[in-house]
Amino acid sequence: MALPRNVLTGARDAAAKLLTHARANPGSSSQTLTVERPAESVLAALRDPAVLTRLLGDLGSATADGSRYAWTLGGETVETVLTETVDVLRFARTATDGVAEPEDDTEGGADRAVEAWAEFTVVPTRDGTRSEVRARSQLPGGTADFTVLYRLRALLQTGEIPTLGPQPTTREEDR
Amino acid sequence: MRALVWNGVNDLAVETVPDPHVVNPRDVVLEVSLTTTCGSDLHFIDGYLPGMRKGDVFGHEFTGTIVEVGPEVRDRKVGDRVVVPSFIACGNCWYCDRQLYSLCDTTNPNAAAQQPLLGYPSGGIYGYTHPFGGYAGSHAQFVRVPFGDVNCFPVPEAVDDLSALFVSDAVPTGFMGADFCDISPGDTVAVFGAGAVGLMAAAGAKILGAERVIVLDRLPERLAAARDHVGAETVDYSDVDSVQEALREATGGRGPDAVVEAVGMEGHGTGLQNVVDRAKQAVRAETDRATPLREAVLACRKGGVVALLGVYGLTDSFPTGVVLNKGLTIRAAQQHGQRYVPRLLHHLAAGELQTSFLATHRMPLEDAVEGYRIFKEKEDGCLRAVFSPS
Ligand SMILES: [Zn+2]
Ligand SMILES: [Zn+2]
Repeated sequence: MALPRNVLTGARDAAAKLLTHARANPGSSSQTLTVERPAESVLAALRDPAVLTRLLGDLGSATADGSRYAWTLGGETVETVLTETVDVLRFARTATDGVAEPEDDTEGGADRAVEAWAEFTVVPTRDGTRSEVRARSQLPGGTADFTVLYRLRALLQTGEIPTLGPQPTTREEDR
Repeated sequence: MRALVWNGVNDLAVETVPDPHVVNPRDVVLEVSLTTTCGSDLHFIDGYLPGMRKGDVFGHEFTGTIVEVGPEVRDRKVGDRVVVPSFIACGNCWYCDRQLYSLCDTTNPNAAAQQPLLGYPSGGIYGYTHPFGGYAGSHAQFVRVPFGDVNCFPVPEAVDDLSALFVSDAVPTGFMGADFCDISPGDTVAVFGAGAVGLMAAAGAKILGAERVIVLDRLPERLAAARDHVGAETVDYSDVDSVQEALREATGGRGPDAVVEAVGMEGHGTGLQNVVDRAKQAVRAETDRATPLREAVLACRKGGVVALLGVYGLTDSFPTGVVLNKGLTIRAAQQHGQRYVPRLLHHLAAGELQTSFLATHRMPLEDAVEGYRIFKEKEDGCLRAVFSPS
């Protein structure tokens, strides 16, 4: 299938940008998905604690007070502060006194003082109609980042998140 | 409600389970009128395909009447008599935009479980293991259907439930295989396997203009169905030394222009390689017997198309070099049913397609365990067992 040239170059640029970022953050594992929505809508969704809670689903929930975001996962709460650059939302863990821990923002610095607790990079394609979204987080379980991104794409493109809900498949006691 | 559930390997039962309801705003719930067996179910019933959990309601080929609609369903309404393709599409993603519906990027709640295997997960499917979504299946009185506007197709008055039922899976899967063959006037298409999918691939090849359609199987009643209901020529492969030679002979030495493989890993092949494959499968060293696929690749003419519809796991004995040196095109997919269903319902209403003969065995849902036994054993000429839940 032939895709418009600008889509191809846009995607290539975005991929190159993501790669550069990944190289600057050695040792990070991440997941990337393309969402057929402009970057502003994706970033807006990722700032919204109600949306974050829906994306977490059975994993947990999120609440926000200004730039402070609290994540509840399996009974434990993680306090974070949201910082933004042009295309990166970074939820960084806060120190016990509630102040964001210092960060080393040097590009390529392998010795960053603080690992982001969760970080979303949202790169628009050249024509602006879609975004490449990368998630890297300390969410438990190797597949959580993919699940969150999959649900984000589903929610933004279809208005819903696929769910089995209270359905008869698999009896309660055998789940 | 009553439903057929999987309780373990070769352990099925009809039980009472909770009713489904609308969960997401674009869901509908159907009262199932008819639901049928599929060869691909046998893979997890036997335990070759992992990912079922005790108590799962299965079944993915069905027709019914809408009894509940979500608040954001626009075009479908309570009372609509509809048929539903087995893969769940959203209608809003990159793949749905390109009519590659079974590859839908948003409908698999357990996509993360499938990603490591496939790289990119498939769409969700009703009643077909948890990596494929974990949705409750259709062998039940009611079934929840996500994205009702996208997945429910109204059945024309001229088409009865039984004929419409097979438009859920066997007909679009077979028709898609024929569509993959890029048929030109004068073409010969060979179809491996005269189960419901193979028979519908043969019927599809006829509709799409193939001059000759040759169906291969080993069961006399299936070969008779191919002749009587589809108008195909037939070859009993258990009767010939070499499928490749038989097809070469039948096509003036050139070979069929396209081969549709509609058998999959339940295939009963012939020859030494099949013995090796069966031994491997017996010890679970490899879960596939790839004989029909290998023979399709060998039998196809140079530069032809092999359309792969049979369900396989991950196979390790694929004749890559033959594909390269013969310049073959391999096309494969789980059905993109939503692409074909309107056209197929039209062919049915116009009397250009017959499907109800596939229903060789009909029974109440309460007898579904016995129905699967008959279907699995291909007893009494069984092509499909069809269950009525109410
Ligand atoms: Zn099927
Ligand atoms: Zn889709």
